[in-house]
Amino acid sequence: MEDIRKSFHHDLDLIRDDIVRLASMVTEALGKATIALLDGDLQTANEIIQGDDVLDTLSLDIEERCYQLLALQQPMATDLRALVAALRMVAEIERSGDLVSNIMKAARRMYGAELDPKVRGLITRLGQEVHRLFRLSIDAYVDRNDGLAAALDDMDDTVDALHADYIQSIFESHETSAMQLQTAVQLALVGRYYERIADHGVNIAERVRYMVTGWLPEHTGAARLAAQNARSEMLSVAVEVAQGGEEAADGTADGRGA
Amino acid sequence: MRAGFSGELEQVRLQVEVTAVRVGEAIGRMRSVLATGDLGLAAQALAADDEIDAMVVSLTERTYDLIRREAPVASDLRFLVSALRMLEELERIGDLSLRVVKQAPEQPLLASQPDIFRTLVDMAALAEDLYRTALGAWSAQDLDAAHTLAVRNRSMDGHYADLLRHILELEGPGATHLAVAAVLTGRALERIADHAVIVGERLRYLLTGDPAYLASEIR
Repeated sequence: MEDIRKSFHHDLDLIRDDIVRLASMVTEALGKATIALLDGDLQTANEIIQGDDVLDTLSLDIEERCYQLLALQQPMATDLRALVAALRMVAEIERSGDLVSNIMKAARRMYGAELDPKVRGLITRLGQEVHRLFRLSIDAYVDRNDGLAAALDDMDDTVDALHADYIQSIFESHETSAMQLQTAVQLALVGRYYERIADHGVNIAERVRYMVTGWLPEHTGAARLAAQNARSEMLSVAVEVAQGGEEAADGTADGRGA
Repeated sequence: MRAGFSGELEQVRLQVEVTAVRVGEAIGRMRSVLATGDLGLAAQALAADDEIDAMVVSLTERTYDLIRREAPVASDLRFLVSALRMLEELERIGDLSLRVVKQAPEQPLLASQPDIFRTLVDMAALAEDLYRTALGAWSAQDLDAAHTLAVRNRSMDGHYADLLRHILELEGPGATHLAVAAVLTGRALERIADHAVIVGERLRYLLTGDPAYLASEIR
């Protein structure tokens, strides 16, 4: 019996190692992607897009092994939580890898476009902030650090604010330096991809908190009400802007999904 | 003990369906907001999404608790893990429909370009259709219906390509604003359809246990 437990924990360790490996690959690609986007570096873009196949294969392999362990070993309590968290994390990390590839596909589509300094500056900051958040979410997993995991939600607010500035800068850039429509469209999507990667980082942090403490992202009544009020306020601002006949700065910053 | 457990499994199944119905209503509201730009309805949609999120969290917690207490095996375990994944998809679909709703102030702008608007309206109809099929497949545990989803989603790709083509034909001072609103709306609709397909693939995994179906959501 003890041998079975030992083998189970060994398998669980291997899964954990592979999740960290998978996440490191995505984190590295994300860092490179922002530079490649700004430099119009097609070779790196292609390498990252092709590299996604490796991420997909590894993700599937990990997921299958999780299911096998779940089915065969009937883990208890903490081990079960670690496995369920692992399953969800693989999905979050794999999807983040897809989004990094999407950024590179957008870079290919807007190849040759000149970006003005403000847009470039915001891409740099958005890229750095999202990269940092994603990396920290993985650090939280590696160190089982639920305090760090809990802090990531606040960092995501910075990303959301940067994203709003970024969309505004795209509008301005079109007016002042005649940015092409294709570039504006691709940049808007790129902003969305970065924002989603940050969301995945926050979700990973939530899985870490669940794994370590059993905590689930249940809002307290007060927090939920505050979030709801903030949303209503945002919409009413948008309504005022629309009714005033002005252009809304950004109708895109919305809630975070799993 | 086991009789109680099977009752609890049934409860989870029912509650997932109730949540899915709520998400279906959210998609219906999204279509109305897109069609009319009704800001009052948009505000209702925001509030309804909070309720969906709360349902998802509480049901997720219950499902985890069931896994922990009962240590289920084989098909029961596969069902509970699938329910968790299904809830994740439902929450995401709800969030994506909200992205479209939040473009409500831009709706008159979108509606001012017939080609773009028609394409978005068609995409929203298809997204809802695929979602309803996915939901029906889940409720009836219908493998064939699940199978049709991936095939039917291909026409969404065609719509999205049309949309981008129309967007790039835009000209004039307000073009960027319209282009960004249209592409973000279109992208959200396309992703709703993708998630409907993923629900189908999850169901195929649940019913067959064949891990090949896990691969299809990886793209």
